[in-house]
Amino acid sequence: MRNLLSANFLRLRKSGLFWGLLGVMFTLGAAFTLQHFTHWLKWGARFYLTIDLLTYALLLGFGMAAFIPLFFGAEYSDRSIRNKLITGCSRLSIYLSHLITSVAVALCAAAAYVLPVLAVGLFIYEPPAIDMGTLLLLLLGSFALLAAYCALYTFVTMNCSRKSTAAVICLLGMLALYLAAGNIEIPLMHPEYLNWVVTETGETIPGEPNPRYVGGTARVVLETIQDLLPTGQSLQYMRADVAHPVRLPLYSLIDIAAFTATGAALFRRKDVK
Amino acid sequence: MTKLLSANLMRLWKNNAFWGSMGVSFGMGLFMVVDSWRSAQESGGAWTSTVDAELFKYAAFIGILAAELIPLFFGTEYSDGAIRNKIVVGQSRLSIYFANLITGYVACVLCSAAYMLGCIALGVPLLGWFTQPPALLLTALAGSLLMTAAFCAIFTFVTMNCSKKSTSVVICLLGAFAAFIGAIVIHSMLEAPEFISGYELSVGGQIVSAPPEPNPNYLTGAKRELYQFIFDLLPSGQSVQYCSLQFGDPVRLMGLAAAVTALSTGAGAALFRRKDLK
Repeated sequence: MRNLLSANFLRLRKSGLFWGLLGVMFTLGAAFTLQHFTHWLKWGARFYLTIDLLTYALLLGFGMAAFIPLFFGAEYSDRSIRNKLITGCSRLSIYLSHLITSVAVALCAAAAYVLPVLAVGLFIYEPPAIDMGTLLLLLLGSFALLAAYCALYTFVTMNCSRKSTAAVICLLGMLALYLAAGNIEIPLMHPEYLNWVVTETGETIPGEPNPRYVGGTARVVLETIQDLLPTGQSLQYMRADVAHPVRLPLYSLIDIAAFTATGAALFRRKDVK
Repeated sequence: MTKLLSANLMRLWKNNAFWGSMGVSFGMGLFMVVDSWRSAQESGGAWTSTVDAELFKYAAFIGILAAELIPLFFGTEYSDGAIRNKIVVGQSRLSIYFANLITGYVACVLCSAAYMLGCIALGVPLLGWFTQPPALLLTALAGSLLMTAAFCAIFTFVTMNCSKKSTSVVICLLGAFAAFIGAIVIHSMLEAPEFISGYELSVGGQIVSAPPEPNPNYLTGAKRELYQFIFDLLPSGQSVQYCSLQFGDPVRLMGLAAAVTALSTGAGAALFRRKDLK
């Protein structure tokens, strides 16, 4: 396992794809910060630090969907998976070494994104509206989310011998999951009341109930699906508006365990020719 | 060229990715109508939906479909060595390029037709007959077909000049996503209101609107024209317009789509002529 990991990291260091991903993430972080910086210069608009800090949670959903099939899919076309098996490495250790390497790549890419946001943002952004403990929890939760994305794409890549097919499945699958999360979120966004009434004493009381508001069991089910979907979590982290900051990392761990167990079980039976 | 085209079309007929895309397109047509009908029912008559409104929504996903189908279908020609074989038997590079472009376009038009078929087959009984004038529908049809040609030309350009199928798939799909996000961002910038009106709460609790203020995000002058030009030039920008049947100058859109098609094909064919096929 250690040998497999060091081989993967060595290949990673020499991979143009890896450095390209880091470059793209750094550029995007810098571009978003620059945009807010110009708004600040022009109109004096002030933003909270959290406005773009966790956007990598969505960007890397797409980024890793491209990276993992291209990087690890090459092991099928180059037949290096078969060679690793011949030299006595177990299928499980090959699978896990790929997963760990991809999580490391995702964390490096997230760091590349956060670097320019923090470097410039600390001077121009307002301190976050949430306390430091919650912010730390969101950061840790977003890392767990990145691991969940990696587990999903490793599952697809390791069980699909064709690199291009794996890339199409991962990218279109990510798009489909993103659209699904967006559609689930729409009914959850409807407010419970259409308006609020201010009484003569200055007290604000709820007015007319909103017929489109989803409540009860339906709301619980939709929220659970939204929290279980990696893309649903991405949308929440992106806004830094997370209703259940403790629950999301736990759901990510469930995703990781489910994808990895299924993926590794299927890979053990796979005919690698 | 005729032989190349018939060979391509024969291969297309037996290709699973093509039939999968046809199935997805037909399914999307049905889904869009059912979703629209359900929303209209839920609104309790507050708004009605028409089959015309759904008919051109294929413009929103045909770019993604082409980004997946064209590299998967023609990228195989590199990995199988089929392109080299075609050249060995005396076909010119230009005719290979054009045959692939036409085949890719035919596949996308057939997928669009599958969407429309699903949309009309279920939409007419559920939502009623067309309500928009035939001239508008025909203009949207011609324009969206030219937009599809622009998408195909761009993705053929990438596929024919990238020997690795998986790389061209990723470039085309991520490029399509980026183009759509770019188009949506530009659209929201162009749609920003010129004035924004704030609201203030009076002492009695009554909501009174404040005098409108100029919107700092409103685009004016040359900047607005530039953004509008980019929005019209991008096939993904045209998608957004045809999707909602709200397009400004159809002749300009068609002209720009034709220009994108011609430029992509010219550049792609020129590069492909010099490409080392090993």
